[in-house]
Amino acid sequence: MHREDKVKKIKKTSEFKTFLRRLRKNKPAMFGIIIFFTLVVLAILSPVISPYGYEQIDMTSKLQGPSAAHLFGTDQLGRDLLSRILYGGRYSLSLGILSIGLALLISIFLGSFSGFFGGWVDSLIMRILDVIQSIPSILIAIIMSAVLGSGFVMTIIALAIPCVSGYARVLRAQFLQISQVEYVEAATSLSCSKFKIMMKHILPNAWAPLIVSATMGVATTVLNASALSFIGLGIQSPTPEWGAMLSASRDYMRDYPYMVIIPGIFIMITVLGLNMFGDGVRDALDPKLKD
Amino acid sequence: MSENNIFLKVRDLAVEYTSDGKVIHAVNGVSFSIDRGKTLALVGETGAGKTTIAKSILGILPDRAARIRKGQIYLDGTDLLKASENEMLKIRGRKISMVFQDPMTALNPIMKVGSQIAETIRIHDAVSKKEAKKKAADMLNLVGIPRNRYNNYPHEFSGGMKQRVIIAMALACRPELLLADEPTTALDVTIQAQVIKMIKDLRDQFNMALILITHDLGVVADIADDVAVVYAGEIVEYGSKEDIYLHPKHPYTKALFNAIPNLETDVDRLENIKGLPPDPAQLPEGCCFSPRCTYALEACTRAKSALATVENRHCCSCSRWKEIDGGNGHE
Amino acid sequence: MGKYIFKRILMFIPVVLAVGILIFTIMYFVPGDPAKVVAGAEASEEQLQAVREQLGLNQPYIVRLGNFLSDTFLHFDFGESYITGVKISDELMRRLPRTLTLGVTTWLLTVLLGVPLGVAAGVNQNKFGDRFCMFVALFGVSMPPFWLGLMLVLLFSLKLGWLPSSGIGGPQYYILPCIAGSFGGMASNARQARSAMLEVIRSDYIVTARAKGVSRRKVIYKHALPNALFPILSTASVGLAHVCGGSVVIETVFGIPGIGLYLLTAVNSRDYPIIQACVIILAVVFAVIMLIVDILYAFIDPKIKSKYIGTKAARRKADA
Repeated sequence: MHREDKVKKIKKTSEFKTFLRRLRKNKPAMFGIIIFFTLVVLAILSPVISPYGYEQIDMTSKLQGPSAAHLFGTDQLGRDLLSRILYGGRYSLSLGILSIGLALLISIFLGSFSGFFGGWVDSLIMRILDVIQSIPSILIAIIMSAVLGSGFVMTIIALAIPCVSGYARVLRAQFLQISQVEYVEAATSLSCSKFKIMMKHILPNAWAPLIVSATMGVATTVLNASALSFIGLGIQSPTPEWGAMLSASRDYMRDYPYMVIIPGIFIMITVLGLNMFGDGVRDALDPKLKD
Repeated sequence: MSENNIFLKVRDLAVEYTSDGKVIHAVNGVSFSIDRGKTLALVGETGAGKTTIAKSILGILPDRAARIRKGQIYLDGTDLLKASENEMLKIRGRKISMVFQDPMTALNPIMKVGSQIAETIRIHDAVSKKEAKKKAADMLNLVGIPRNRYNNYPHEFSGGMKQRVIIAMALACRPELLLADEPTTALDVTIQAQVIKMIKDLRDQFNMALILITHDLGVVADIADDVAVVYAGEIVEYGSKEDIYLHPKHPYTKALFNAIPNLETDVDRLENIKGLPPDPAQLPEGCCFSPRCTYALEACTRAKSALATVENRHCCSCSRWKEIDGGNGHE
Repeated sequence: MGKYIFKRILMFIPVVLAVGILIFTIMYFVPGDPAKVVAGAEASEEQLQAVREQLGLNQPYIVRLGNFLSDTFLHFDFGESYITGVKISDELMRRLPRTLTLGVTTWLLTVLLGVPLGVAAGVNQNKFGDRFCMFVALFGVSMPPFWLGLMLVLLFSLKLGWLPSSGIGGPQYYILPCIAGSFGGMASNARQARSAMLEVIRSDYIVTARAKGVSRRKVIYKHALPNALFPILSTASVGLAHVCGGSVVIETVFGIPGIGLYLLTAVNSRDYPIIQACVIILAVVFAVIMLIVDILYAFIDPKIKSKYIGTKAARRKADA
């Protein structure tokens, strides 16, 4: 068994290496991830690189179109849009990443719990997930943020909940599939801690389907987060979240269209980068689809 | 035997795939021929290029990924590789049919099995829908499936039954050549014998030529007239069944036979031959088998040697077969 | 087949009930006192008590849940708005047709344009048309629909003045909302349909069909496409969920007084009965259409078909 484990490990790592090699060769995917990381770095560095403070009001230069002094122009209070966009990236991006992270944590717990105990625990969890899945995801996010109120942490939770059922399902399916092979053997021979089996065998095996749905999940969540802020829930103006900025600029759209165009473009670029990367990951995992 | 009698003649066929930016040399200069009513077995490990040979004959290689680099395939004197797609449509299923390896996935899951057989008939024979249906039911009957299962879907059949359906479909238009690609590999052992017997009986009944692709040497002994041993996309030894079974010359063929008695469990793995078949993306420069061959000399790794006649039609591509044979005697 | 449909409808009931229970329970645990919403922030303790009495808010959870479910599902009564006192079911009936018109049109657009484009792209893989479609589709799935809506308004209403920017009226009021709402779904349907086609085209049975002498065209439309419809159909139904949920956003952008906008106003004013009612209505509409999709599935999936038609009928047919 020891030897077998080793063989499997070698197979796993080489599988992972081919995956990485294919992914590196995929130009759109690399381009996508570079876009995304650039935006992340810009957001992290925003206090350093922003030309103005994101809350710095300057009524003398309000509603100015893009210029050398204000690359993206200024808003109705004379705040520099470039600075607000850079700073807003912190909210928009972290909402996407943290919500999916939270959703993954919850679903790792639920999925393995469910697949692991089986029986009525499994049925109960799965039925509840069924019901959650039968409500459109953004509706759940809306209800959750209505219930939890606005604010950063609450919005993360509101966005994470609707993602849980999908991931939990993937994990549970993986668990059931693998437990049929390994579980019997391991449990009888070692009566080794079930939890250990779970962490050692199930999770590493589930990474492939999860990584695809997680990347795409971050993309969808960035979109949902901005939609939530746009309709006045989630993160709210004057916080410079991109969706909230759009919502606040609507009234000025007719005469100052750059105020709505620019935040939208940033949302789109972020999601585009993630989707390109996600596509690449999927192709790298299943290269046959490409040719 | 005169040239005219040769029904199918494959000459110097070479096929390559492009995948992931790498060129994979699947078939490298393969030649063989087969007469009407005769059976040729292509024997070799998985991945040796046998299926690619069959698919090239039928012209159903994947368009984008595969490319026939060179060679000719003559059927009754016409080169199939030069035939137009429309001409090929008339040949596929009519003159040449194919039975596939995995019956579980080879049938369209959302079409009734009967309709799938009738479809072939309707394409090639000018018959009414009703007649095609009746003929299809007859074909089912012929392979031992009750007529009333015409309207069943593939998932309602077992693996062996599905393979029968596929055979019925392949034979529906009385083809002159049947390509059977590992028709029994995916089946239970007990079912394997039945299916092989059926293919054999139907071959005799229809006087078809049969190219059987397999790695099961037992089946070959049962059914074949000629045998071609395929390794890394090349025929390394070719001859009548007796030649190959009684006087194998190539070290690979010998190793194949040596592999059988020692293996009690898994015949098709051939684990006794040390090493792995070469990566078809990076074939060795010399003899492809040289890295695994116990008799390999330095010269073997540098240059290939062509098939050389051993006796009559029996030929072998090993440059040292005489020495080796002298040293070891017959198996 | 009737048996299957019956069974599916039977399964539909508990799901809808469960949605009701879930929503009610979530709303029950919302921090804050509904009585305060109704009576106003200045109300005295007696007034609040009176309101609680009147609305039955002081009854235990299980009793309130029972009342809620029976009112909702047996009497189609969602109560009155806490704020305006208007009967919610009347308001819903007024608004539902608008949301349905918008939603159904949007969804049909996503399916009827997205799926054929994706199938065509898959068949012509790596050709110019395929690459172009997929490039556009990538933008489609990455674009926030509300932003697209604003851009359309900017161009077609504010700059060109061709179409109204908000409100309801004739069909022209629905054009921009439908485009804005359907572009993303169309793109995602096209992407999924393409990969479903590619997946199916490399199946063994496609090789079998080619080996039989079936022409290329027929291989694609008779063998590949019907099999690719399964994953396409399930993506299309997921798209429906997006449309249902997206109605809130699109109605906000275009000021369409439908269910979505009703829900949003209620969320902002903490008008709980309206929130419950809207979510349940949207979830039920969604569930009904999912039910229809499931039944459609049965018509193309022989595994379900043969299970419920039974072999007897099949045998009779074969003998005939």
